[in-house]
Amino acid sequence: MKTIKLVAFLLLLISATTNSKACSYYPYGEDIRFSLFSSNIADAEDMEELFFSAQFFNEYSQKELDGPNENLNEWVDYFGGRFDAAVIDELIYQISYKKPDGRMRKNELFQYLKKDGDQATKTYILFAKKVEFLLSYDNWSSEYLNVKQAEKALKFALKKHGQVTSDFLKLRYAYQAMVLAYYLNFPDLGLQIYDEKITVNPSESVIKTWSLFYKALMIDDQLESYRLMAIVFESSRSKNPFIHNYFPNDEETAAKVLDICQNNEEKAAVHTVMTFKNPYRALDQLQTIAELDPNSSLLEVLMVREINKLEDWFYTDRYTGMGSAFNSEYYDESYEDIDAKNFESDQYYLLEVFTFATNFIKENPAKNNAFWNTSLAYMSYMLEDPVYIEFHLSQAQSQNPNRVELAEIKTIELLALVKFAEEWDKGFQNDLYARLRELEEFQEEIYNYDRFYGQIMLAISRKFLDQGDLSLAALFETKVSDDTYERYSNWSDNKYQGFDLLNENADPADMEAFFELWNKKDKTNLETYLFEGMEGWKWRFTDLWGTTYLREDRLEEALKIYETIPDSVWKVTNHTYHYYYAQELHDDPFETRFMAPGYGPFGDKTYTKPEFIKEIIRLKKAVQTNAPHKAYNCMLLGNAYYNMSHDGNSWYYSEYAWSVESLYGSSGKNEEYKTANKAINYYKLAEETSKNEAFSAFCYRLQAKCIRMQAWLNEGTYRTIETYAEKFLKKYPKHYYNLQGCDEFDAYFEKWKDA
Amino acid sequence: MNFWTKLNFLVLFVGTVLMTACTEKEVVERSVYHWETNFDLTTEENLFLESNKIERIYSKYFDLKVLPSNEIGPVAPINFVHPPTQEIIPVVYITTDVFTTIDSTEIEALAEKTYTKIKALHPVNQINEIQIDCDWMASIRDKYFYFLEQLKEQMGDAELSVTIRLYQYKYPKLAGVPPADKGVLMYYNMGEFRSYQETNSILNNEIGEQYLGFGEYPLPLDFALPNFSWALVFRYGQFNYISTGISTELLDDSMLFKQADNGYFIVQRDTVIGNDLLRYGDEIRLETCSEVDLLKAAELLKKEKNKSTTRLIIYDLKPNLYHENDKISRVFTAFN
Repeated sequence: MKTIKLVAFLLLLISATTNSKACSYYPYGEDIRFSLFSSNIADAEDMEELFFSAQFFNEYSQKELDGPNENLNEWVDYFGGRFDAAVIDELIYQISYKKPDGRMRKNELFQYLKKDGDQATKTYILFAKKVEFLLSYDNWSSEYLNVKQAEKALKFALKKHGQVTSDFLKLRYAYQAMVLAYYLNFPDLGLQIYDEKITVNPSESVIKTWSLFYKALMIDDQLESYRLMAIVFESSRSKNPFIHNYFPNDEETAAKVLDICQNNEEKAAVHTVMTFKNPYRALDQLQTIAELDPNSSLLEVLMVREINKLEDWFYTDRYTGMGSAFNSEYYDESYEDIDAKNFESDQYYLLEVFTFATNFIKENPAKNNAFWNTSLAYMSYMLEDPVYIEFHLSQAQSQNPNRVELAEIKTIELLALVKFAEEWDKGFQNDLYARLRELEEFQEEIYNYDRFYGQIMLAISRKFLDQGDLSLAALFETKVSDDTYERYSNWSDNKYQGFDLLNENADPADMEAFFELWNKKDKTNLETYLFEGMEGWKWRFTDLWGTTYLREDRLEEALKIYETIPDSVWKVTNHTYHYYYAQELHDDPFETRFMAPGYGPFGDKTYTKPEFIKEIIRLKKAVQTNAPHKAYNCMLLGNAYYNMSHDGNSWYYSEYAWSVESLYGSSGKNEEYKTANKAINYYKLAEETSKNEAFSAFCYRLQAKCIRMQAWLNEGTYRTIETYAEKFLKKYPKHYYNLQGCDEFDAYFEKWKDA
Repeated sequence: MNFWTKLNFLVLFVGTVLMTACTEKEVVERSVYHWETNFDLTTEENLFLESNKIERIYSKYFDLKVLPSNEIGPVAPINFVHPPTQEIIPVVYITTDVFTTIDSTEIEALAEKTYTKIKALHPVNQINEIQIDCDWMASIRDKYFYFLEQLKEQMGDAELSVTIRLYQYKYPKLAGVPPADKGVLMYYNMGEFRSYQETNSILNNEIGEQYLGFGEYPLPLDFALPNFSWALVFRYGQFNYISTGISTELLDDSMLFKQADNGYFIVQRDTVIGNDLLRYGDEIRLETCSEVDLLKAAELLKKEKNKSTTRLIIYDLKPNLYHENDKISRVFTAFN
């Protein structure tokens, strides 16, 4: 019987440990990928999908126009610059053929074609739109293609090809005919059109490259098809995502395609497609492409991809800090060790890429030096080399950089300024503030600006965090925007992010420094900017300041801070002060009828934080001076400290978030929260001081609650609890069974009067 | 009729009733889900169907999604290269954003178009059942249920079935009961696959059990069990991606992977598998459906049956299922 009861008691002790579920926050992939090197810097319009991404295809698009730029630009030239690309794009690509909307009438090009333009051009544009409609797939229809209409269109295209005089339009009619032949499954006709009408057209046009794409789809020889596709990939842009998918993954087939290539440029093109498919280090491939075809138009895009990969490996985990540290018990190496090894290896690789880029521009001085030097400057930043940063930035600036390159140059200058700053002096602040403002002028040029801005703030915040300046780390953290997913992300208000950073890292001295900065009279522009919107948060941050003292049991100092907060704040029932104080401070922290957390409210009395601290101070003095009912007072102190721990009813006095899932959400700066050591000591003192055995046994039982929590939260073992239970049985055999559950707690508690 | 005659009659009557009740046998109909775009069964798949006497295949016909144009439309429609001899039951998977996007006035038309599309794709004339798979929640419930009502009106005598997730099953009052002829309790996807602490997000009976035994569900029920696996890649303890290239066989390569005590496979050197990059120290959690877990699941679900003829549907039909023929056969048997 005793054994059964012992087991029951043990089960009761460990029962609260069995039900746990993590709070779900698992952003991953592109949501957290870190990137400050603009993916669009290599002027790769029409191929955003192949920019480096955590996904198979990059889904973010900065592209303003629906149609491919490479075709729109030809139309702009065709009209002699009379219409800009957006107007042409609207008419050709945006307005529906089936349901033309009001934009049609307002479109300048349409008006021009209607009144003044030549009929041949108007007829072609309308025909091209019709073909696009015919070939667009209606998801609801069971027909993939209206064959009759398509055949009619094919005949019309061939007829018009013979009639129009403009080579520009002739080429396009031939192209439309070839496309229709492909979809109608007339490969012979399609290839005949290519040979007889397209290759002979004297126009220089991307349409010829697109026609080659359809030729590649219509020929039977698969290897030859791949070879042609590689040529299209290199010469055009808008078909590249398709070709990326179409091309084989295996090296063996790629080698066979290389064997039938007719020159080094074609070989380089094959390597280029394969390199875009490589999610890992591709320097060897870059070197091969550079050797075979130093004029490869995509080498620069690949270079950007390589830098974006390195950024991901260098910074994503380090800056976003989303990883957990749960695994250390299972492995020989901790995450820190693994990260250090990967980082060292990546640094070595970065140096190799850097050397390649340096040699490449030395050997090819006619290349886009602004781009290559900007890339080298960014890599120098990653390598933390201020001399090379300065050198390459000055080289880039002297090479007439375009706006995108200039935006990147400004970014690197700002990053370098922050990285190597030694003093937070006025000069530095003014410089940084000016540069931050300046970057805002490049919103259109910087790729995915919203994410970029959040991430640059994150990078600055982390620099100060690493440096131990928590005030600045927290203030920059409040500027990290919603598009940036990281460990402190908070979508209701970014100020919580700064609060959480301080909550997790700050001690009283850090908070004092934070408020010193906050209360500074003559703030610089940067400081003013950083504190923008913070006024409404003053009491919440002040509360945290007091709490940092409380966590260190510096009660008098905590009280001093808490007392600066108006009493009305503690009693507020709404969210004015960004915390539902009245609702949170709803249990009696000295309460003894312990049950599982979340079951409440308990006790008749509630305390504001200063009232609570005052009461602890009063009780401590009473204990120190051996005032009457010492054991009782000790027990109350034990209750107060236990209730502030994870399992207590008033954890919100020392923490701001709680989870059934162990220590998730807690500050990590609060030893008592997970150990309740002070509570144990006070319960021990109560047990030892008590003159009543029942009350002593009760205080021993209360220690068991703390031991159980320690065992659970601190990866203790069942044995710890078991040992304690055995000791309990030995020490208080008369009371042990009564105190297994909490049913008898009230009766035992009442014994304090005799203690 | 004297007392004894009456008693004899009564005994005979009661006995007959009892015997009838005892001999009425519960029937389990074996089915599978088919979730590929091309319907072109391999020899192995056909062998699996034949050896397990599976006469019904629930096949996904298309996804109903919000298209980039913001219109709602079917995506990835099925292509019957070789229609099977078994009965095919069309399944349409609807993403929840369809019902957050659509205006109520457009639902009737959507139901009509959905039915027309299903009919156009169906390889034979007769449709006995259509299944709709949608993880509805309170915010879209009214629109979703209205869609089901409208679809049902189109369907004539055919039955409408819907998938039921575990939380919808446990809390029918909160989640609502779809206006359908029957439901299929999906007994899988019961964890958070992105969580490092998760052990098996596909099938975990400890979690599954918590959703069972709460009384009879208001709709006649069939049941679905999983038999698939996936490899989840974690970097520094954080979910990174689901790998498509990692197989059980590959994980046996001790040069590339080392298994830790917690079951995770640790990558020993940087490597590229298919399109996936694995870095040194990455951890892979391989989640599968073991026979032990599936048998236990079948035992648990048996108690939830609420009709005499119940279908058990295995997700999903793949060529390698044939190599697990015995396992799946035992699961079907255990559900009997």
